Amino acid sequence: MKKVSIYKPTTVDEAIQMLSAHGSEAGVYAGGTDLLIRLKNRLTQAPSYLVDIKKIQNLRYIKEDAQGNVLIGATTKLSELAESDLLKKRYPMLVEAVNFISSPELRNASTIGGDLLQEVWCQYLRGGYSCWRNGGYICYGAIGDNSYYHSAMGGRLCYAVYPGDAATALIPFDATVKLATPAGTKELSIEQLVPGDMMVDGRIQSHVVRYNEILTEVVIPPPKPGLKASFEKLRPRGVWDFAMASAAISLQLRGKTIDDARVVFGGISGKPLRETAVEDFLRGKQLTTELASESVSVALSNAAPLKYNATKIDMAKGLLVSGLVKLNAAG
Amino acid sequence: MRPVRAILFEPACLGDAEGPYEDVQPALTQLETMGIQILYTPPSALLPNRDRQGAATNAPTPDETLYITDNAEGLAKATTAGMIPILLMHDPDQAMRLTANNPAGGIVSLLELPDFIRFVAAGQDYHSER
Repeated sequence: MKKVSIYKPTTVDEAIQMLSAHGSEAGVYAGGTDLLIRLKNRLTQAPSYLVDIKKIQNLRYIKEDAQGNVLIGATTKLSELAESDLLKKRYPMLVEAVNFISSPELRNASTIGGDLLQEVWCQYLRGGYSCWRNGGYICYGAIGDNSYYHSAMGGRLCYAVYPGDAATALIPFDATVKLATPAGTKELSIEQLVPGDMMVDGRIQSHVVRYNEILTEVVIPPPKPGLKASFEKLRPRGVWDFAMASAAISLQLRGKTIDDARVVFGGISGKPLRETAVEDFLRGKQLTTELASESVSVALSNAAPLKYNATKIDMAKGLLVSGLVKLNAAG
Repeated sequence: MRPVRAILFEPACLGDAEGPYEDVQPALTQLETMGIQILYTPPSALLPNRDRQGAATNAPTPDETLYITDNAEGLAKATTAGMIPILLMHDPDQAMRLTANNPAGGIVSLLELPDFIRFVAAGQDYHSER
């Protein structure tokens, strides 16, 4: 592992100054379950200057504001989300999704901010191959074993899937995030935060956060009346693993009538993939098990699987059906 | 890698007996919009930016030129000529084997070329600004 220097700022402004001074040579260090592994993997893109934000006050909380939004500080541990009574009451689907993320030990260290902004887990990148995300100009996942960590929905130079579960689960609640930047606070939807492969500050990443910006807070608006949500995830190992495919669904129901819908697939694309074709199909219809099966006909019509991962599309469609069936059974 | 100004394609990368591949025309249109020159012969390595009278020209140099190929001979030819050998990865298994021949980069489709060129330029811009 290369030598690193660790800064320990006590304010967000101080952290931004440190990040600004070192450019892409610096990186935000919180839980470390992604960043330290990148260092251990000896990736050329791993930072040399770690800006440890754990000592910054007021970045670790779960609370409700006067408008009924739930606010989650960026350094809040995933285990704290999983144990939060407020989240269990307001967004049980989110808690369910968080409990699917990695292992209890890792959830004790990982933060919500880190989960949202984590690097992809492509075995070629993590194995030190000189790929698009690691100083090179080629995607080995596109031509090698792409059965697990790679997109079945096309790519933009890099074909790795976005691995985070939290983002997939937050989109159905129309959650947003706040970024602290040198120019002030920036607010983005989760979809804007992780739009898939982007060229940011001379490198390819799944999110839009620049080298001198810090994700500080997740904001989840109050659930709309009649909102029901489900999260389904298939993974190679049942104990803990990244998603082969996942589906997060929220329906705003009036009786059995679907007034509004959000359908988001994880683990199959370079971003949490909101499937608006299915949402449009569901809107205004009666929720039934038949409707759940019919929804498959409009799902993922622009799939573009690689040589070994077409099964991801079948899995995602299956999860869509099981999620809708579950919501129907829930009343 | 230096910023890319030109591309030379091996003919087999643009089409077969049935005609041009479907991604060729959209890719070429985008590249033209970006001001990328499509070459039909390799760029000269001798006095590349001067004409015979010594006047400045806009000719790209070999190290500013991508050579798009899908085979080992093409990669070797590009390297010998000082161009940037880029592997067009039609067939995944064959492409993985050809990575042993040290291509400078690889693309799955010609439609990735505009992003490829933008990425190279963006990396240069970021590092020169700092």
